[in-house]
Amino acid sequence: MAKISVDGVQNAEVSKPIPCEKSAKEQLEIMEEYTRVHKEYTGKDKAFREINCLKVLFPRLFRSIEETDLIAGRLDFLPIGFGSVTSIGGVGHYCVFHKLRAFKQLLHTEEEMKRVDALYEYWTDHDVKAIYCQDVLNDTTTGRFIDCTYPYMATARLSGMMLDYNKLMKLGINGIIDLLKSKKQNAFIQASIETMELFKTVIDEQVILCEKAKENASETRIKDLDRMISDLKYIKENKPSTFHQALQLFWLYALCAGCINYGRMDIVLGPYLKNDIDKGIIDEDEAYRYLKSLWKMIENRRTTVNGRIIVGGQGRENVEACDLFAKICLRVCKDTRYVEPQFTLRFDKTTDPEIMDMAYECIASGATYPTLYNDDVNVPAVEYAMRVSNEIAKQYIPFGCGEFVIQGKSVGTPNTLLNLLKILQISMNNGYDPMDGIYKAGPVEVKPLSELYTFEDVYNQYNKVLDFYCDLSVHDQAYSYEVMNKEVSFLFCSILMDDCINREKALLDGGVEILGGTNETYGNINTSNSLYAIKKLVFEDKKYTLEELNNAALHNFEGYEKIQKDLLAVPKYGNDIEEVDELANDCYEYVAKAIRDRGIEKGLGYYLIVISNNQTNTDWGKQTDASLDGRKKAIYMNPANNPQGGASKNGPTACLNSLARFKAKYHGGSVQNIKFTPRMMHEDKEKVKALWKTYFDKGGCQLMVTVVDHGVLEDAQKHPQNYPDLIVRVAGYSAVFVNLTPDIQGELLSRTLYD
Amino acid sequence: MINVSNIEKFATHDGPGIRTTIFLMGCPLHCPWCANPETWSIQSTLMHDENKCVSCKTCMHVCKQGAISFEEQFRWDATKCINCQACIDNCIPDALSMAGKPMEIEDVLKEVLKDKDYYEMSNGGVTISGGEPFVQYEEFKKLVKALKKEGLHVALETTGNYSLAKLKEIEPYIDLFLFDIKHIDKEKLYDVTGANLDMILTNFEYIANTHPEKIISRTPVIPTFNKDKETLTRILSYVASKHIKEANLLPYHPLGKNKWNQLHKEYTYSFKMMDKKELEEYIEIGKHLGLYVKIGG
Repeated sequence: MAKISVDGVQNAEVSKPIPCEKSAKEQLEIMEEYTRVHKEYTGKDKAFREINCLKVLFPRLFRSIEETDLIAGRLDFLPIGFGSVTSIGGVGHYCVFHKLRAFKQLLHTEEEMKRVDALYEYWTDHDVKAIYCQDVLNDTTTGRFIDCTYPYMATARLSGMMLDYNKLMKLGINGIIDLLKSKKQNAFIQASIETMELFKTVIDEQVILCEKAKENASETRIKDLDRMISDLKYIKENKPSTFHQALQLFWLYALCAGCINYGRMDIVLGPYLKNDIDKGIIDEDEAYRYLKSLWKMIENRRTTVNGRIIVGGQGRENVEACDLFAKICLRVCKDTRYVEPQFTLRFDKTTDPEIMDMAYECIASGATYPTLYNDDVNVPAVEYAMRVSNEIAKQYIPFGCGEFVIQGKSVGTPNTLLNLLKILQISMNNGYDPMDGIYKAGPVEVKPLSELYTFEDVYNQYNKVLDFYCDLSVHDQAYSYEVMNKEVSFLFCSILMDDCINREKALLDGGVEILGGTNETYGNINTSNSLYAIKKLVFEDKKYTLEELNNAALHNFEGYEKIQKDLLAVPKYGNDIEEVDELANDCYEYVAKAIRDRGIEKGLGYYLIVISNNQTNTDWGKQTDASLDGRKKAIYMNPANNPQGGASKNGPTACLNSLARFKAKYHGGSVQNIKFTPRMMHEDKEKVKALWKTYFDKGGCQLMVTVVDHGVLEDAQKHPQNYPDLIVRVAGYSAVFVNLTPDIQGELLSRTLYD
Repeated sequence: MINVSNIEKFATHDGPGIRTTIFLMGCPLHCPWCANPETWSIQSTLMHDENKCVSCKTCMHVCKQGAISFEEQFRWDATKCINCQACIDNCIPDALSMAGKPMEIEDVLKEVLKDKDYYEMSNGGVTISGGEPFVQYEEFKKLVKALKKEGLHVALETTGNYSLAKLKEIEPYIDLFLFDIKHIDKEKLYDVTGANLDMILTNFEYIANTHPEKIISRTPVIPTFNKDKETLTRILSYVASKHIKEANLLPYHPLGKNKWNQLHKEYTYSFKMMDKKELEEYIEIGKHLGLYVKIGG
């Protein structure tokens, strides 16, 4: 087979990254040096190769301290380097090919450009993701992420790593080094020790950068910088003893580890905060300043769909301290109105009402945060879904667009994505995708429509094709770990993940306690609504034949407007209609169990579908043919497990009743969007609160809310300059509305606004 | 069967808490500002949106009863229509819709009960509105009895324009009357809306005498009709004199205009949307009368 190209967009990128501080020339030198070291270590142990490559990047890629920074640590990344996730570079030893091509434009001489070409050439064979893609992608079934012409996409990445920062706090850097030294000195352990030593040089570099920042600084600013310097020096050799020190240590480590989701920071930082306040070391206003600075630094990383900070919920020891931290975060979140961090509140029936109230006010102000996670539902659900103890389930956290992992204990990266609607269409067209006429059903025997006599025949045929894709999915997920493990150790991550150090093994080498994974599913509701329309119009009312409906869709309903009208008139999910919702639930449980069971069989800790969403419902919709829910060709698909835009016509109670129907125990995260006007949020506050509370009592697992007035989004499309800070919740991420592309804006507009 | 115009979930303007409002067909009044003119007739009524209609006449051709004609413009003959929906089903641009759907009481109940948990959480319930629910008196009575049997809080939005005997039958099943006092001048009220003020006040006072806490008075404030200080103050004084605790003044809005167009009726009360602020002075006036005046529902 021809060489697979992975050159192309690889992640949702709405927030525009801040350009690297280094000159293009210096960037090129760093990338060349990285490549040289990578080459030099060919055939040597992957852990040593990794640490030596990291030494090229750190501390060199750290950038200057900025005027408002109250903790040190700003890090650039280049088109070639080391990482975990695509939002900031790539996976393992990576090359982001399209960014490397763009980088070339910054250079001036032929000679320099040729040097870039040489790098490009080298990395086509060595980029970890490219190695994976070469083995997994093909011309019919499996596309690279993001290439939406396929019904299924697979990728290699290590998204959503949220580390056990408590371990770092409790042991300090030297404590961890001592622990590592007490273990058998294999390559992984030795490289880990070097990693921690490298981390110390990063801290040293921050001291230098702070000293530089002092030049020409005001007196008050110098005071801040002096504290930063002394705390940096302290944490280099000691366990942190203050809130500021703990915050600083956590932040630098997260940067070095390439982690862009942070997790339950109330547990990590709350006790330090409370201790400082109790002892009068700082007051709440000072803590507010530090956290505001953290918020800004997270925003400045511009990772679009990540940046999770989670507070609240079950499984916290020092609840009082954690809640104190949560309350200050809520204030910061309301005041800053950034799209990141994705600030998240876990809660249950025992949560402090003051926190719930502050959260409500923050949401009502239009911040889209916090997103709300219901522990009363999610903890037992995770316990079942991941097959873990209740105690471990309490440490679940959503990352990115809403996938669950266990902090410090599990890997749960979503390396596979399924377009269920495309799969349905393939199953109805002899295995061919009507969008491009390419055969995509693999070895599955797909019967023509004339041989499908009952609704069950139609449904079973769809499920048969889906089964084939689920087989691919579980294989490719497990294989992504195999490939990544062959190439890298993820040293920084491994050190703070249970139970790598004790097992003396790298993360994917048997080190991590729970090797899980997730599979994103799209078009869930379009699929179930299409199936329901078939059931109703073909088999119950006998108004049309299967061929007639399919033929109308193949013509994008042009000349078949009556059929489209009838399809649209069939009841839709999202209106609390028993039969419709029941079929949606059946479709959901089928794919959820298909993935989960295959994961168990494959020996994964867990493998679960996530009905999350970034903007792939829109991107993938563009490449998906007209569907029998009445949706026209190339129109966005439904977001997550929410109704298709405009299909929910029975008010928010009905919509939430439909949403609450899916049992949370079969998925690994599912997100629900809802839109209200500011009028309703303020004037009908108690009613809206009762609405949410009832939904959560009925089994609702999650909710995220956009607050926007009638006509505002429409006006913002016409006059974007007037709306620089209009934040909307797309699905698994929030964005400044005017930064979104018109098709995604259109999808957001189509959603029902409650007033 | 009861003829239902609409069932609106999460209604937040029609009584306390989260509610479902059931709009019934039929009204004895004909207020020219009415926001729901499609409910005037007790019979289902075909609505035709000229902005969407492309004059393809498909509706006329598919109507076996000859109820639709297109001489100069679209015409619908209610007396010939058998409500088969063929015209609506075949109208590709969605220009036609039918106001009024005959439903079994148990089906209405089933729909309403889907949100029972929300009512309980918010101290909400069901509101029956219209039209004037008393127009479908027998079915309406069955409906309120069924709702009460389920233990739901039942509110009624009413014109008060019916016999006292009927009210006496219904009153025990209603927890809250959102009782319209549109005007206090008998002739003016009759001339503009066709309502009988004596009947209305008799009913109002019947409830007020025994259960004043069951009434919230409601006055739609309409330019040229009652939007003058004297009239509104007189209305509020009357309400207060009956020991009612709360009065709602509902600022005029022209949002029903489109429906008038779709019924091919002329909307003569077309004014600018009123700002709540215009009515704020009545909050103070209410206070002096011992009455809580709320602007809006």
